[in-house]
Amino acid sequence: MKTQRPLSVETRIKAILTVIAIGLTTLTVGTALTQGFMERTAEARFLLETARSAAAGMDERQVESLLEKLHPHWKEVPASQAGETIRSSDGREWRFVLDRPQIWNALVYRQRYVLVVGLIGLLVAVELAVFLAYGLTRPMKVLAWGCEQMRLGRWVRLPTLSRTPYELEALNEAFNGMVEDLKRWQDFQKQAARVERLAALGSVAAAVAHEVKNPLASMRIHLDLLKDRLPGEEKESVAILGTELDRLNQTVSQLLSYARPNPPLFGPVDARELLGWITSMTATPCRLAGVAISWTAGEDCPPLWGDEQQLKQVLLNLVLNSVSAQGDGGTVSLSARKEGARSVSIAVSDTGPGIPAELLERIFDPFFTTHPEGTGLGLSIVHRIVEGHGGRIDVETSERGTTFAVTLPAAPQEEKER
Amino acid sequence: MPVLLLQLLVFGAYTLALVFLAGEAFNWKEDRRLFYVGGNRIPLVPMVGTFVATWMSAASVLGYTMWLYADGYVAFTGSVNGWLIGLVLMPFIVRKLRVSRALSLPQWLGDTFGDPRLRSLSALALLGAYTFYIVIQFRAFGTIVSALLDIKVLVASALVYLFVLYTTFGGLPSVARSDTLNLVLILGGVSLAAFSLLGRVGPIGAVHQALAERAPEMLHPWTEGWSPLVTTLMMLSWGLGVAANPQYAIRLLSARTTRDAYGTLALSSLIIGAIYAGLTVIGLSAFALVPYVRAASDELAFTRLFSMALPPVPALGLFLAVLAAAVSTANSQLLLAACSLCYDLRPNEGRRRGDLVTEDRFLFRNRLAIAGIATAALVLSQFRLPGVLLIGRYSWTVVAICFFLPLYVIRKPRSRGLFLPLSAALLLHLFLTAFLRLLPELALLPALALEGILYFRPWRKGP
Repeated sequence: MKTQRPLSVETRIKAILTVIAIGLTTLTVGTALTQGFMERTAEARFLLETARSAAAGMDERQVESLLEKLHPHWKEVPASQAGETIRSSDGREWRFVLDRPQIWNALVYRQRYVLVVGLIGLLVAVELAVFLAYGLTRPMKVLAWGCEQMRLGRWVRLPTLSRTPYELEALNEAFNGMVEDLKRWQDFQKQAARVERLAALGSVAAAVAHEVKNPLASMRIHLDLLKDRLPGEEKESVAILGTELDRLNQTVSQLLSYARPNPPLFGPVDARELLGWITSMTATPCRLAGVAISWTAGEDCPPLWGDEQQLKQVLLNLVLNSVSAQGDGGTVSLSARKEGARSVSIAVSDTGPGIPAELLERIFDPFFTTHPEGTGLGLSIVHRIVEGHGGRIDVETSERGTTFAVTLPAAPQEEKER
Repeated sequence: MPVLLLQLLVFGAYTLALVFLAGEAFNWKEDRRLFYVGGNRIPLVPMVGTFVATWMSAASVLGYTMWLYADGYVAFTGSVNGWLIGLVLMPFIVRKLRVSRALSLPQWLGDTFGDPRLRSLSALALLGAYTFYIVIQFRAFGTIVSALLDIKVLVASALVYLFVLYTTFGGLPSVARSDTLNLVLILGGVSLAAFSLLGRVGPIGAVHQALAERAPEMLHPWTEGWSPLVTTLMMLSWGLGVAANPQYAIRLLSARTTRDAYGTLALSSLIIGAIYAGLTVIGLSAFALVPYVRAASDELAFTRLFSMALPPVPALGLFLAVLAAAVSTANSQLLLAACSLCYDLRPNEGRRRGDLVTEDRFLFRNRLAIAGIATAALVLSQFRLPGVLLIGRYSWTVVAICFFLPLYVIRKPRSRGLFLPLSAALLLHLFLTAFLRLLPELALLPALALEGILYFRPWRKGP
């Protein structure tokens, strides 16, 4: 069954102001008309009484000219009808009754401007009601829109409306405050859930990696021993086995470094040296992929404060990730610059196709990868190391490429001078 | 009850009906498409209501009736005939218009010819033409009410100004709803007056008999004063103007479906025909009853004539029909004028809605424009301007120059090819009417011919 829509604020305010306007107009005009009618009737009666007393001393002809003055308020009626009588000195009688419609007509004519202005007042009242309702419903409309956006999962901040009453402005601000708190709370929950998940994952991974690493080492030793005793063709198969064992070992080592990261050994790290080292280390994979790599560092870029080995791993992982994201060709640029008074920002930018929006939230999750041969641990390790250094990592991506910006603390002044 | 009080009570009842039938001025979920074209989903009944009520302007009800009263059937040949030609042509543009998702005719023109200058030029022409046309509506009603109630014209015009403002603030949905009420009043008022006059004079045969005895030339389709050439040119001009009028085109665009648009044209033609028949009876019967009336203007003559020829209630019905016609046409024109000012003359405004706040500001600007244009028209209506039909003729002809060729003649639009021909045609029309004092409808034809020649360039060979 279709439910009836409740009346809007506009309709309600319109109805109220219309009733008030009609009431006031009716009261004003009604009072004016009633008072006017009573005054006219009294005047007419006074006129009749005056004429009656004057007529008593006049003859028929004189009275007839006198009676002309009784019009238009008095109407002459036949003697058979009831009415006010006027008698002349020679005994002739005239009957009169009050001509009420005529009095009303004259009164309405006299009050016509009041009536028209009342009508105009009614229309003005209605139009004022419309704008009053608009002033009230506009912020509500914006608020409803904000709630709808929130329901759709979009974080919005309500705009400040001009000329809004402060009560409604307070409502607006309360909504914006609620959104900010909710967003913070959601971020916190996400972070807590992630930490919890990673901790559990890390424990399992560490246990498994530890159990796997020792047999792997033993297998490698025995494979090396076996390699020397085998004839030519079998040596090739053993070499392949060795390569695969190394890959397995590397994965396990990565797992271990992720699950049980070494605490960073903080010290000053020169950003230029770091970028130069990374560029030379990745020159071969870049050349094989047809990717051009370059680096720049600002003149005023201070040294970083961190673990050099771990920072090298961060940048190595980011650069290799960028190279593999581009396919054939493209460029990877590294840059370092001073960020505020106490930070350094190192950016790794590529010209690849970008990261789809739906994957962006998961790229730092362990084991999440879009490459068939990847472990999905590279960016997780980057994230963990950067967090361990008290820094942060931001991603900007579009169809024209992706930039990972790592912001790390700068070395204290005295360390720089040392 | 005193007649004056009855008249005021009827106007009061009309006010209340309008206030509560026109709906909400500020729709909860409004955007520019809803405001300008009713979200392209206006159902058939309000569509017919708004189409016919907009069609029946004060010029139709008052101007046509008084022309008929003065000159007889030549008024039908020269005006109604032409208007009906326009109505017959309209089905040919329904599909062409509905393919477009434009919100206004100037936008359609600009989009079709890939030329934003055309949009601005036609919007400017519409803004001017409609502002003056609204003046007619205000003046017609203002003069009638001022004569009826013996009040100042400005006070009486203020009434219609407020009616129009109120119904236009809600955009096309509100205009369509109030127009349905106005159509009922127009139909009711005209029928009541026509039947009342027939009751007094006798059937239409008796009316013709009376005319044949007193002024036989009134029964001819043209007279010495209105030669066949002038009458035909006038008919053609009105016809082209009506056919290309954005007021009707925008309604065809706003219908829920193409079928509804065709249905609107079919049903409207029947109702419009009935109303013209009623007005024809009124004009001719009034002459049979009161062959001579002396007044300073058409509006005053109309008031005096029907106060004498009709009893108070049918006369009031007819006057209310003029009010309804004035309000229904003025609100539609006001909306289009505001659209031209706030939308078409601002090239950055696209047809897609912005975010909530941007859209709200945009529509608020439209409402301010509505108030501004209506106020300007109210002020202009207090000055001495040419007669009702003459202002109408200027407006129609300008509209016809802007839209007739693109809507009806040009099949394959040439990108950026219409701006110069259109500008030249408007300038020629201005020159012929302002400097050579030619009638606007006579100036229309050379202007249209120039526009066509400059666009098609018959001297150029090749495709």
